[in-house]
Amino acid sequence: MVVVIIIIAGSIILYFSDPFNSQLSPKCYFHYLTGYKCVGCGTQRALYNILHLRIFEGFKYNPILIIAIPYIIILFYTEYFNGKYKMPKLYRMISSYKTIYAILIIIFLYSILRNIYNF
Amino acid sequence: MREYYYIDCYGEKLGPFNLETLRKKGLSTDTKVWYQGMNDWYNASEYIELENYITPPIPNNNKSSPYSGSESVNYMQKPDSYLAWSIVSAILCCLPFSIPAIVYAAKVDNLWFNKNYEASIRAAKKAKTWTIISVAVSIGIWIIYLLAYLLGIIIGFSILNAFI
Repeated sequence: MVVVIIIIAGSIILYFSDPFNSQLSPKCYFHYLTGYKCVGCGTQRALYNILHLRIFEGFKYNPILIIAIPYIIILFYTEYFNGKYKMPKLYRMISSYKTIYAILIIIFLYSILRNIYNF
Repeated sequence: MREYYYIDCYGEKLGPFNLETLRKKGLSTDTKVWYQGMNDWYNASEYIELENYITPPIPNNNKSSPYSGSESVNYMQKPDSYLAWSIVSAILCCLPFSIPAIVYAAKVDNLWFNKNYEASIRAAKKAKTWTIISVAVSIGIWIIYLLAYLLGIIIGFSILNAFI
């Protein structure tokens, strides 16, 4: 229940706060301090575009969301919406040691590559 | 419908049962359970669908029970690993501090299924703490940024006024 409220509230706030023109919307402090992009950079702009149904344009700002959004949906479903009882195999696969370390490696590789090739 | 078998405390194979029936059998954590498709018999505690339906094993003698007091009350419920939240925070905003959160979250399930229940609960708590830290740091920096921005506007205006 709390999860649903947070997600809906977050979406509504994001829908009305234009990250392109607003000086007040949160900036990535990692990018600000180091000059390098992290995995999260562009997520806000991407989600803003996606919420305004410019899906393709949205994913250009942070392509990792193509993988991350479905993964996060499955995570929330299995952890908080009875998914772990209905789909125990899926739950165990997705929250296993190996999967999570694979994700950490993807996050690191993605951060390095996006700074080299600038996407 | 998936059909389960289990081995009772006398070493006898019982079944098949459907999930609902199996849950009412009063299995203990170390009861061996199997269904068609599993390559081996596993402890009942490893079946997530049986969570909350199994009881701690009856100790051989009371002295050797490693769990006591409040530990035994909640030790069947696998702790929430905060994995979902730590990954959301990594991707949304708060990368550096959500890395330890993800690492701890990764340990929770693994420790749990290796019956290291206390360590699993500790890892879950650490994952929660780091997730909160990562979000708090991000919000803190954002507030500082907003304050600095406001200060900049005020200073800007006062300089402008001084020239006019």
